[in-house]
Amino acid sequence: MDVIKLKSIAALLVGPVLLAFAEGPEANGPKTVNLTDATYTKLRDLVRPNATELAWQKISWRASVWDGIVEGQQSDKPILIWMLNGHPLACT
Amino acid sequence: MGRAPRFWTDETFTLISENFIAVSVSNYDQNRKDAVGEFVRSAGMQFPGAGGSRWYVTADGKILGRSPKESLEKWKKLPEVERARGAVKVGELGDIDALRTGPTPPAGGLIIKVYYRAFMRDGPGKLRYVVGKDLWHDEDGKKTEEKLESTYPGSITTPQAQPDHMWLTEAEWKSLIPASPRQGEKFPVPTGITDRVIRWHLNPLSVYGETTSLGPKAVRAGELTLTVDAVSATSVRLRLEGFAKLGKEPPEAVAQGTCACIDQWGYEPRLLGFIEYDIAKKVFTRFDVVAMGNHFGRLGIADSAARVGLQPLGISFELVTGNAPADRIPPGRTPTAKNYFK
Repeated sequence: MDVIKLKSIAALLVGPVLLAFAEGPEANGPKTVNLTDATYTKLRDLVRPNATELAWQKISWRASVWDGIVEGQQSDKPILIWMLNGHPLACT
Repeated sequence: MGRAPRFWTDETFTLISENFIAVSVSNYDQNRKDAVGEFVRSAGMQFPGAGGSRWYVTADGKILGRSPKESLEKWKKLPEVERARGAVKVGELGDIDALRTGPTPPAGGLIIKVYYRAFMRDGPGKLRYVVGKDLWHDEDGKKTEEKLESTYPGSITTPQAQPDHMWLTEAEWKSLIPASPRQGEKFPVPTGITDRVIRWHLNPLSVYGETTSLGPKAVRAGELTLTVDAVSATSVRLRLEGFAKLGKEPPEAVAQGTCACIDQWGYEPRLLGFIEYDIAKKVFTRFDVVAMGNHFGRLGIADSAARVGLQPLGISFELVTGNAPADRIPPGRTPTAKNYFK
């Protein structure tokens, strides 16, 4: 699949695209999305990240400040340190 | 900030990939009582918290700037003796502050990548991803993230699939495979695994930010069962099914879809999934599970937003190798995962 096609798919998924699903009522309760063998793959793929959301993986991240310092020193490059409560590699 | 598309453009990816050594760590690193903490503190880096931050520094701890472009320009202007290979002498790492570092995946265990995603109903039988106007900070939708999104496009990250990880020890994943599997055989998932899946990984607060496990009182009901779907000379396929009722039952106005709930939450997912085991290699080749159900309340800890009414929240689980650093972040994304197996 070429890059343009991938980007087009990503753009579609990021926006407020409508997705049709059968819903089933709980007994005497609210409607719920039917998770069945028939809907499984589509629902799973909607939950998982799309290409745009995974674009940060284009960067080769190191998970240790010390490794970054050593590598920066050895490779004549500055260091980017990206941090977040929790962890940026596992939080959005 | 986080992974907001506003910052993470193709230009930024290229700039960082080609010119920087990229490191990603938890904010807990700043208080480490070891060489890493000392480096962070002596450089003057301050890690502000949930919003995250990015620092561009030299190997001897000089802050270059607050954007990759500005920092690269400053880097190039540094005297050769300061930035040449080997110009900076890095000392020894020494003893690591184990209290402030996260645990590592269990030896011989499995790492399951988990993703959380909030959806919105958009008419009968229709789903879509959330946008700024869906993210309410009050009960009646007067304070939403719509203005933020329109003023700064690509600045909110709640609509994204939120990653986390589930770990199974070697003994745990082996306990999922019957000694003599027979097609149609049905049995409960071992209690310890069921409890951890429900309390750690069906926690809807994981949709935004770091989390820990839910307390036992947050679980009103829950059950996971496995059925032997197929057995051959080479493999066993299991079908996982289950449900959970977590948090509170929805207030009437929330159930009717007229308001958002700010001070309570509830989540009632059903689970379906498929696990495959290679008999000869004695390994799982597939661990593929989805949870989907109605949720109300905030989509994360602290001051995160809520959606109006009952809205779908989905969770996916899939097996990963653990070779990438991003796959080895502890469950809940913090050192608090030290209690994960307790």
